[in-house]
Amino acid sequence: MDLIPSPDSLGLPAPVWLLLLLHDVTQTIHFLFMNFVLGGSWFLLWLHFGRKVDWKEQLYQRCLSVLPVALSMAITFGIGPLLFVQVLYGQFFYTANIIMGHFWLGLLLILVIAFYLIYVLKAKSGSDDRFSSPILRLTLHLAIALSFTFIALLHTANAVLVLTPEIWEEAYTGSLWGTLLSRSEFLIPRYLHNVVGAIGIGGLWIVWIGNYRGSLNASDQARSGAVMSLVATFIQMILGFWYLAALPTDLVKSLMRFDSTLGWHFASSILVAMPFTVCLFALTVIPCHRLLRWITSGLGALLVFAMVVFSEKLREVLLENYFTLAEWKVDTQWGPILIFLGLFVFGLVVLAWIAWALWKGFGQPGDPSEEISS
Amino acid sequence: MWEYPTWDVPRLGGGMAIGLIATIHVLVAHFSVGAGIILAVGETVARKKSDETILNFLRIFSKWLLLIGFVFGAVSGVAIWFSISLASTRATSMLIHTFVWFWAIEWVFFLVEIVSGYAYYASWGRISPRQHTALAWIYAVAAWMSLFIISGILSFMLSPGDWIQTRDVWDGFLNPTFLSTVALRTLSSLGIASLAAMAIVNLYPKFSREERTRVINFNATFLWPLVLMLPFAYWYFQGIPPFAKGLIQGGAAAMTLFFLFGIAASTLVGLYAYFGLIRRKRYINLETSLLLLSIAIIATVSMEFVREGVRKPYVIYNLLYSNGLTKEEVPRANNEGVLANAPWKRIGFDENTADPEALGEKMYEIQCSSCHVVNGFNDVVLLIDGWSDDLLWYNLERLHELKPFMPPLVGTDKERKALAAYLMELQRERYGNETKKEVALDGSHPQS
Ligand code: HEC
Repeated sequence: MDLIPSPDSLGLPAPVWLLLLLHDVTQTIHFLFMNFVLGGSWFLLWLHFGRKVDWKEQLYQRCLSVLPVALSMAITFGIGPLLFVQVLYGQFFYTANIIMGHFWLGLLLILVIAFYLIYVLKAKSGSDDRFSSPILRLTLHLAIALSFTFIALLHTANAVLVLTPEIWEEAYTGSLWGTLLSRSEFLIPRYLHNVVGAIGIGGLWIVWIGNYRGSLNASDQARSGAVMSLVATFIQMILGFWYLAALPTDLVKSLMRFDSTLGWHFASSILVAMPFTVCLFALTVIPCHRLLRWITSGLGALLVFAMVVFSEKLREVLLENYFTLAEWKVDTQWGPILIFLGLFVFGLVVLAWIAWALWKGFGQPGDPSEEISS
Repeated sequence: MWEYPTWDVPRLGGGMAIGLIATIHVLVAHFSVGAGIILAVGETVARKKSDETILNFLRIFSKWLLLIGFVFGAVSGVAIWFSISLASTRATSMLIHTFVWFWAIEWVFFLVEIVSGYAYYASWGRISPRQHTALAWIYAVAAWMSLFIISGILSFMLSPGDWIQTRDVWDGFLNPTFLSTVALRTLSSLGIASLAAMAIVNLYPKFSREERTRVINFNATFLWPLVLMLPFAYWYFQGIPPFAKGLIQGGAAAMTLFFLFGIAASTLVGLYAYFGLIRRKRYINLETSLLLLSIAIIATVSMEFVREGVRKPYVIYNLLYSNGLTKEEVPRANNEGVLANAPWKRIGFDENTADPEALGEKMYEIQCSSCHVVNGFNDVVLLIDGWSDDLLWYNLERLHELKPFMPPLVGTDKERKALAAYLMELQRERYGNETKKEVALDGSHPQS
C-alpha cells in the first residue's frame, strides 16, 4: 500500500504502553459522558410526551439540566483520545480525516448547533411552558437527538476508514457520501453496536438521576432508566453477533481461541457483560437499591473500558500487515511526562474539592431541580 | 514528502479555512481567559466591600462566559485541531509528536477550567462566599495556565530557536518569543473581556445608569494595561527570525500596517480607559462599548494575522514550508521529482501519457495551492495577468529569491516547465488571446 504515509520521523515522545493506557482511559471516560448525551437525548424525547405526569416532568427537567454539562465533559474528555490517537496512528488517522474532510469538520458544526439547541430547549421548557408550542419543542428534541446520532455515524465511519486502507483510494476518488459509506457491511453493524451500546449505558445515568435527592416517585424514575438499559443491552447482544459476522473469518476464529491476546480481550468483555446484564435485570426490579446501583455502574464502566481495549486491539490486528506500533522509534520525554502526571493528580484533587463543595452546598434546603441549571 | 491526500476547500483554500476558524477561536478563548481574571479579582474585591452591584453583574457575566466560552470556545478549539490536521497535516503531525505532553498538560488545565467554570456559575448563593470566590480563582488560574502552555507551542512555530539543532522539547517550548507571546496574549485577553463586560452590562436595563457606570469603571481596571502593548510588542519583535522582522519593517506593507495598527489601537484604547474611565469615571453606552470592543477585536486579529503572516514561507520556521515540504528535502524533490513523492496525486494519473498542462496542474495543487487558490483567495492567475512566457519562467525559477515569502519551486525540469505551461493556459482561458498589456522579461510592452 504505497498510499499509507510513513510514520512521523520524529518518533514517539513516550513508550507505547503509556500512550495506549492514557488513550484507553480517556476514551472510556469520553464514552461514559457521550453515552448519556446520546442515550439521554433520545430518552428526553420519550419523556417529553409524558410531562403531564409530575415525576416525569421532574425527571425531564433534571435530565435536561445534566445534558449540557455531560456534553461539555464528553467534549473535554474527547480531547484525550484525539491527542493520543494522533501520536500513535497519525498516518492512518489523518488520512481518514482528510478523505472524509468536509464531514469531519462538519461534525463540529453540527455539534455546536446541537449544543446551542439544548440551551434553546431549556429556555423553552420551563415548568410553566410545558404545554406551549409542542411542535417547536418536538422539533428541537428530534434535531438534538438526530444530531448526536449522526455525529456518532461520522465517528464510526472515521474509525472504519482508519482500519481499512484497502478502501482509501476508492473512498477518496468516489462521491461525497461514498467517503462515508464505503465498507458499509462493516460500518453499519459497528455503528448500530455503538449507538445501542450508548443507550444501554446512558440508561444508567437516568437510574442515578432518578435517585437524586428530592425525587418524586424515585423508583418509577429510576426504573425507566434501568428498563431502557436492559432493552438496549438485549438488542446489543444480537447486534454483537452481526458485528462479529462482519469481521474477517480468520479473525473471528482467533477471537474464539484463548491463545491469542485478541481472544482474551474478547472473552473478558463477554465476562463482564454477563454479570452486568444480570445486575441490570435486578435493577429494573429494585431500582433504588444503593449498592446494586454502584455495582451495576461499576460493571458498566468496566464493560465500556473492556470494549475500548478490545477495539484498540482489533485495530492493531487489522492494521498488522501495514504497520505495527513496535515500529515506532521512541524517545521518551520524562520531564514533561512527570509534570503532566503531577498536575493531573493535583487537578483531580481540585476537582474532588469542587465536587465536595457542591455536594454540601446543594444539600442545603432549596429547589434541587435548580442544580446546574440556568 | 507529500504523503497525505489533500483536502480541497473551494475559493478559500485550506489555509484560509484554518485562519478563519483559528481567528474566531482565539477571540473566544481570549474572552474566557480575561473573564476569569475579572471574575476572580472582581468577586474578591466586591465581597470585601459588600458591593451588591458588582456581584450582580459578575453573576450575569458568568452566564455569558458559560454560553460563549464553554460552548463555542470548546468546540472551536477542537475545530482548530480538525482543520489544521486536514490542511497542514504534516505540520500537525510534527507538532503533536513533539509536544503531546504539553498539550496533555494544557488539557489538565482545560478540564479544571471547564469544571470549575460550570461549578462557579451554578453555585451562586448555594455555597459560602469564600468557597465561591475560591472557585473563581481556580477558574482564573486554570484558564490563564492553558493560555500559558498553548503560547509555548504557537510561538514555537515562528521561532523554534535552538530546537532546530538540539531537538530538545524544552528548547522548543521555551523559545525566544514564548514569554512575550504570553504577555501579549494576556493583555489582549484582559482587553477583550473587559470591553465585552462593558457591552454586556449595557444590555441589562435592570442596572441604573449609576450602577452601569460603576461596573464600567471597575472593568476599566483591566483595560488600561493595554498601554503596555508597545513595549511588549517590541519585546516580541526582538525574538522573531530576521527575515520575519524584515517583513514587518517594510518587507511586506500589509504586515507593517497590521502590526502598527494593532499596537496603536490597543494603546489608544488603554489610554482612554485610564484617562476617561478611571480618572474621570466616564460612562459609555452600548454603542460605544461595542465600538471599542470591535476595535480591540480588530487589533487582536491584526496581531494574529501578523504572527501567521510573517511565518511565510514556513509553517514551522526553518524546518517545514507551508506546502508540506521540508527545507532538507529540496534537493531530493529536484532529483526524484515531485510527483514521484506524492502518491495520492498519482491516483488515476499517468505522467507518461498526460499532457504538460495536466502535469502542471498537479504541480500547482501540490506546491502552490496552500497559498494560492485558482478563482479564489490570492488567485495566482490575477498575479500573472499579462505576463509573457519568459517573464513567468524567469519568476518561477527564482520564486523564493524574488519573493522570499514563497518556498522554492521544486521538481524535475519537466515538472517545472509543466507548471509554467499550466499557468499560461489558465491565463489564456481567463483573459482570452487578446491579452491587453503583455509584459515581457525586460519590462517592455512589446504588443501594446
Ligand atoms: C507560503 C505561501 C505561498 C506559496 C506556497 C506560494 N505562494 Fe506565490 N505568493 C504568495 C504571496 C503571499 C504572494 C504575494 C501576493 C500579492 O502580492 O498580492 C505571492 C505571489 C506570487 C506571484 C506574483 C509575484 C509577483 O512578482 O508579483 C506569483 C507568480 C506566485 N506567487 C506564484 C506561485 C507559484 C507558482 C507557487 C507554487 C509553486 C506559489 N506561488 C506558492 C504566497 C505563496
